[in-house]
Amino acid sequence: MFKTFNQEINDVLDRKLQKDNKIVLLGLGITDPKRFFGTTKKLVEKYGKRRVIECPTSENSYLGHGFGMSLGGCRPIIHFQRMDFMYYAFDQMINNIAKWNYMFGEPMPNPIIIRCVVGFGWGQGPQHSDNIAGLLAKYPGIDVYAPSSPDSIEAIYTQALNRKKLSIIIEHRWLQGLQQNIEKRKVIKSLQKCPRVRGASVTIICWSYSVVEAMRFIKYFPEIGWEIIDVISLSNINYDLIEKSILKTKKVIYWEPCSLEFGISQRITSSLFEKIQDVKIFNLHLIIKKYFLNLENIIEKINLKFNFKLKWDKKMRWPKDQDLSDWSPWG
Amino acid sequence: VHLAIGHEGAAVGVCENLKRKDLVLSYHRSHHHFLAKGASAEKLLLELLGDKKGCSKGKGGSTHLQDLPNGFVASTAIIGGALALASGLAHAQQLKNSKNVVVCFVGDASPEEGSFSEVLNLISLWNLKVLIVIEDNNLSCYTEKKIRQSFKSFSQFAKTYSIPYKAIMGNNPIEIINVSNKLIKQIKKTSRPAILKITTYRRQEHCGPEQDDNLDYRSDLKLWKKLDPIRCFEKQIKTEIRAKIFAQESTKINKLFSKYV
Repeated sequence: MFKTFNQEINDVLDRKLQKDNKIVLLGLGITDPKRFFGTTKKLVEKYGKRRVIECPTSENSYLGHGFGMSLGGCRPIIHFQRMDFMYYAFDQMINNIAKWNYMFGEPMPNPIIIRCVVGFGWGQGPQHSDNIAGLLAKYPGIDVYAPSSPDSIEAIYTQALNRKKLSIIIEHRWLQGLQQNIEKRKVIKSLQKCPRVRGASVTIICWSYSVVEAMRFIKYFPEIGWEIIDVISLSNINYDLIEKSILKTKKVIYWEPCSLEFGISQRITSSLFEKIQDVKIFNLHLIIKKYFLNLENIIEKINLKFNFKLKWDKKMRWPKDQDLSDWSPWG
Repeated sequence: VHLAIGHEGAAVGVCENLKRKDLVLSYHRSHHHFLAKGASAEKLLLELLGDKKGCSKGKGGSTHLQDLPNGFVASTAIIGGALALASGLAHAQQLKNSKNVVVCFVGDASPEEGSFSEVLNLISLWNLKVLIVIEDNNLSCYTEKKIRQSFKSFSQFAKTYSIPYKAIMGNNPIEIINVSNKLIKQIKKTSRPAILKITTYRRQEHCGPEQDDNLDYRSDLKLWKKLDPIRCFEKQIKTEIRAKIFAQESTKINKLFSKYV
């Protein structure tokens, strides 16, 4: 029996709504005739308008509204049919939701999930085809997921609904109609261990729709030992798994479904660089305490990292407040 | 630190009518709302000092206060950012068939943000029990309203979205108590939102402890010192009672400050 990506999402949403009456869906187009690529089919009929809520075209406010509902005891899943419209919602997404757990010193009472679709393909112009996964994964308060096939949907929603933070699930439009034989498939349980194909010659690191492209590609060249790693959980990348693969194959293809600059592949490269090249990297931001860098601490850590013997002296001047008038290094 | 000296009447006047389970959200100038909703002054002071025992574990500071047991959900620093949270909270209350209202305090710059209009649409469309209180002190940081706004009154927004609107002066707390009492009762009865505009005055600088007279950007400070809500309230109570309250409260405050500062 075959099941498509959107049917799987529809079934998972249905199961989750059935199991937990605190879950509500919000968004534009979730009760319209097309039902958000068919992913919200029959849900409003089954669970009613109180739980499947069609929203005005106010992306920023309906996201904030959903978050307000989660503060009030609901578990909202907020829908955006195109990722490009989420730029409107960035104030709520970043300033209120992503920063919340840090800002108030304790976790928000409920999880909150955003579902969004990358336009891509025929008829989708520059303002309907953006994929900003890397930008979203940059923020510490957000978990970003990018499924490539129906088999990971259940695991993603289960994990997201167990975490008191914002999870964003990025769905590629071209995945929606893609089918998978559900009798043959193994349902993915750990989102961090997701090699699709094992091999020893070339590592292909990919996510979202590019996994599908890579899988199709390697079928034409079975003589090469491809290893395909599907990075589903973009905020919690399994670097150990990738490192092992790269040390084995010594060849990497990054197959990304979006622009490269400051994106997922560059993030992976930067974290593997130190391990694979003989270069030591030291990220200063890790030792900020109470907003300010502590000089004694920096020296200690640099000594440790680079095997230096720099000495800290009490006379060394270091800014402690925003008044830098008597400190300027510029002379 | 955004001090609310001069704004106290609005906070006390509205929160006097709220029960513990009624919810309050606020903007960057929120100390007065926090205290008026029944939260602890000690936790506020510790928060300002960045202490772990502060109301937001010392992470939020002046603009991010929270006291959930007393129904103070949050104050947020981006103008108009708390409004959508208020409408969502009211929606969650509606799903629980709760009678509680959600009050969202905003400043006079908030209607300039798109989120203000968006949220007015949401709360009216979905019949949510939200009271938006606009504290109008005429200034957004240091920029006057007349330079910023083409609309003559905030009531135009209310009319557009069919939301009841009331405007009063912010210097008489008793009057604010009475007017907001009626509005809150009406919200509970009709399950419709309302907007209350309170004209008030920021005596201190935008951010910080000074009275920035030296910047010479306003001429009405003297007049508003006379109209100060606490002064006005003092005049309405008997001398002995006033002295008693003053003695009690100043002992508490002195004790608190000598303990931590």
